[in-house]
Amino acid sequence: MSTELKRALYNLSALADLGQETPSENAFHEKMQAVFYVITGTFLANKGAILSYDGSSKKLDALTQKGFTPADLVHLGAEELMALEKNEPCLAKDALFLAVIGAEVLVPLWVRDQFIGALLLGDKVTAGSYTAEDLELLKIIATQIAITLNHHSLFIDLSDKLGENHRLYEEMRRIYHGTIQAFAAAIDAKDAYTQNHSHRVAKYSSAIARELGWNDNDIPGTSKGYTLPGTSTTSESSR
Amino acid sequence: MKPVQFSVASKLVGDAAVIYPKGYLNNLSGESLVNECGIYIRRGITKIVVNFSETDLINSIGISLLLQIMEDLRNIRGTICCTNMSKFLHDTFEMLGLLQHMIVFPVESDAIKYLKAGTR
Repeated sequence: MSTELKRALYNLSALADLGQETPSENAFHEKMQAVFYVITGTFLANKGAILSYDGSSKKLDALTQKGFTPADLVHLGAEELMALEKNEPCLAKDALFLAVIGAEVLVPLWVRDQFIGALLLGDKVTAGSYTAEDLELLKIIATQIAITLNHHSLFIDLSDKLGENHRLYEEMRRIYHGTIQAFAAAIDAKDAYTQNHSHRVAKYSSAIARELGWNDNDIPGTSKGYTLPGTSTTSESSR
Repeated sequence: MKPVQFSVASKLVGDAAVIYPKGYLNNLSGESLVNECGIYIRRGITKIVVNFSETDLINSIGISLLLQIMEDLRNIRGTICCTNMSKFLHDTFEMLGLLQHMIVFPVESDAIKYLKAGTR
């Protein structure tokens, strides 16, 4: 088997490794670390970094890196990287700022029109240069990483929105119970004959619901102890 | 066939550390290999023999971890010897051009002899 064929098989196997790591259920940092090892192992790079772009601070954060100092990475301006061609490897000979930090190749990561971050690699341990085939493979890998980072970012956004919705729901629930209590208290105060009637109705309704096997979450208002006269706060819709 | 969980054992032979990776060197558990070598390097050991008799396969992640060990040793002007490699491992290292950055012996005892001779 020729060396070229062996190399092609190795590259294919690296893509398979990447395909196995990116959708894994590992924690995000572990996943990115494994992806980073796949990349440095594929290109035999002595240095490297996966950078993520934070749109709010307009800064690049190193998700994982080897061989670069934080001071090196400060030299990388997001605006400068955004000016490069999307997902296309850029060699140090074409971008002087890469040579300054000792990087050999950089790929700006994009998903559609969204700048996601950058992939940075140093020289090869074997002292060879990046071939056209290497750059082609790097482009494929970079596209996959961009999608992975974008998915993670979307997931975080979705989690934040879910948390916010949950908070709003709880707030609405609190207001609803407050209103019910206020109505019940007003009615009780107006008529001495029915005083505490609503409290008793709520108490009996809750007791019946519990006896029927409902849990406390299905019996709204149990902790409040009030309901409007002639009504029950026991949720019929949940049954 | 159930894959063997990757593990690492080691021993000190004279002034050389012999490392025994066991299993498929293909995921983050392989970091234990780098950590094991790091322990010896921090103790001042500059000669490391990696006996691959129980590691037949390696992927890009494993190569990356091996590169880390090679670089750590290079930084302290140390020596890495690899022994008992399967044909797959040998061919992979050869294809990647890594054989020029390590000394390869068929068996561990040859590597130990070589390293001992070097200290005389």
